[in-house]
Amino acid sequence: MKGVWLVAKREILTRGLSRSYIVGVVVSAVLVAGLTLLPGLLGGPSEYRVVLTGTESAELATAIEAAAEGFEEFSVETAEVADPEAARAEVEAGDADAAIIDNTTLVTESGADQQLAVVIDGAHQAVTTQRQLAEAGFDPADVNAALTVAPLQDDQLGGDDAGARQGIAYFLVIVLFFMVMMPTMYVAMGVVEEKSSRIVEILLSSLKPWQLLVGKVAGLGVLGFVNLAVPLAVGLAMGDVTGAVAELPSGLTGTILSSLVWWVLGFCFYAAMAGALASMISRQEDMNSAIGPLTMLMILSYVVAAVYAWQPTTLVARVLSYVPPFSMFMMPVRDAVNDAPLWQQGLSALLMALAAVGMFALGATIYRRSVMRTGSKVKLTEVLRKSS
Amino acid sequence: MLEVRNLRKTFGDNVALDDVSLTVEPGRMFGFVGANGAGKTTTMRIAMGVLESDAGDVRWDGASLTKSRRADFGYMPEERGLYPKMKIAPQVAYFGELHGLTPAAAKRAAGEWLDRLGLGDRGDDFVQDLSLGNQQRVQLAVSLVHDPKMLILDEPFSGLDPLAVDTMAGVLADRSAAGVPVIFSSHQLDLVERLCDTVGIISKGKMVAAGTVTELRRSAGRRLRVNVADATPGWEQTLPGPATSCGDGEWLVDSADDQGVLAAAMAAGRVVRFGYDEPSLADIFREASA
Ligand SMILES: Nc1ncnc2c1ncn2[C@@H]1O[C@H](COP(=O)(O)OP(=O)(O)OP(=O)(O)O)[C@@H](O)[C@H]1O
Ligand SMILES: [Mg+2]
Repeated sequence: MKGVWLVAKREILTRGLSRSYIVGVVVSAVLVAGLTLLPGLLGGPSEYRVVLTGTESAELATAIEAAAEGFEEFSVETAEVADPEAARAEVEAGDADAAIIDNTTLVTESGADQQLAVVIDGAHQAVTTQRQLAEAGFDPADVNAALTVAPLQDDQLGGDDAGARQGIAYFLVIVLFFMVMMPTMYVAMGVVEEKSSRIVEILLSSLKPWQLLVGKVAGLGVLGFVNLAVPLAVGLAMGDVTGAVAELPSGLTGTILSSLVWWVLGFCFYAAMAGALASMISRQEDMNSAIGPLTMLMILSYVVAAVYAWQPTTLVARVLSYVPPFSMFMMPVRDAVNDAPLWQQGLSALLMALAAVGMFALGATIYRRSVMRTGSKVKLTEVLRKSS
Repeated sequence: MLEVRNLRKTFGDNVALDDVSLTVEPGRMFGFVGANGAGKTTTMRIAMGVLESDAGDVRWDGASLTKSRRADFGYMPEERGLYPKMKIAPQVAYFGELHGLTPAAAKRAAGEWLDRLGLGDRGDDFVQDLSLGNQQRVQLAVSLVHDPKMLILDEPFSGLDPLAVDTMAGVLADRSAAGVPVIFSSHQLDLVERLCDTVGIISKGKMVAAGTVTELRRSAGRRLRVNVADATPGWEQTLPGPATSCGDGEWLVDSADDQGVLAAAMAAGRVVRFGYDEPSLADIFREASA
């Protein structure tokens, strides 16, 4: 254990104290913090302002406010202004989202948001119909009664906020992918560096091969974890202050936090694999071909997850959420739409953890057998065949 | 005491080591010589546990070697290896810690050895910024930082300037005098002859000779060197043993009958040189590796 700790400590000190690493962590933290400041990160603004002028402004204003009451997600504030110029000026300045002139013209910056357009259209139709019917001689009270229609009940099959949840799931997949990929590459490069500089020969005279592999993965893992967790913590804290976190659909904060666990499992799996594959070559130039299988597996599971992030409740998604290493992406995706109870997540995490341990055992064997072989690339079949 | 016993190692069909045995005693310096590809590096790697042998074993003070006991060894591999982008002093200290020193002791020892090897003021430099010879000194510091109980050095002198050779030789002699068994390989036979108490010669994976330099000389057989001025060509036929020409009228004669050789030479002409020839280590080496 002491050996593992020494190796890990060296990785943490030499890379973690380097300027590029520190700058990287700070920049991502700032970026994530900035993201929480963006208004309407999850769909448009929650408050609209509509200004009206000219004929039927009062009726329209009442109708708009009444229609908007049917929606929970947003509210609409109305105001009357003196003339069309003032109305246009407000839209231009961004003070108002839309202006309605004489109940005939709609002025916006670049089209109204869909939900606002629905409200305005409805109000416009109602007010106009009412006037025309009144002109045709119907009793305004009857007209009003006839025009009062209960809105359609909103029943989203994907549950409330399905779109936002899937969007966040997709975002998580991307973040997990890059955050696992990067430190995995560092593991591979570090192994080849030690092998190509021949320093591994001295290291192995006082360390067992598995200690070297585990120590390297642990050290770079700590750095990778910090690089993920710090921006996340900053983002959540900032989001808490700005109210962005409160706007997240319920349970998603938990999903974001549990993706840290998935990161750890996924990183262990891929890092052990990277160490093993990289130990079979002696030069950085051979790196791409050596870790080809890893890159392919990782991209495949990423693409699959990116696709099923939008169909998280399909059978394929459910099955893959148990299959390592696909589960590291698929389970967070299912969790994001509340499709996976805790026990399923635990089971899947256990399977992934077992896969990671298995990969470590296999990786350490490959590493032990090939790390002292220099020259041309060691063949995988050869390494696996050779007894003990 | 380090005992290497009956090592065998093959790489594919290539037999790199065939029944190699050698012993390095405390306070003795063992010079390990042999032609390129003879098996020196392979033997040392197996002794260090970096490579596994097919057969045979390595024992230390009478018991088989484990990883933790090898932690007391100092090793300088043939292909030097240091982290190029790590500062020198922390790097040497890191290896001290790997060999079991406490962080404070490792730091102190690293400073002392770098001072001693003339790199005291460069501790904050990166290894990649040093000249090759200076990197080699760092490599030596790495192998010495934990005050090893055994030193195994693969060609420690290659690439060093004469002053650095003297420093290195001084350090090795000093360790050896402190009772540490030292084994090093080298192609600089004059150096081996000067420094080593014991020499082992390996050829094509087999140990062909081992012993003190005097013993090797004796077993190599002494030959007579004789030079007769103005002798008629073919006079060497009259010698009582086989003769090899060294050019310029000099002959090396394999014969125990020194008086007979002298008589034949005197009969052939004016003897300008006659005596026993002490073979140099290079001669012994050539003969053994042939
Ligand atoms: N990793 C390896 N793979 C295959 N063959 C090897 C390997 N290492 C050594 N050999 C072979 O083992 C034999 C002994 O090599 P070794 O490196 O021990 O020689 P050496 O005495 O150290 O030579 P040199 O003086 O050139 O350093 C050589 O024939 C070499 O080709
Ligand atoms: Mg060698």
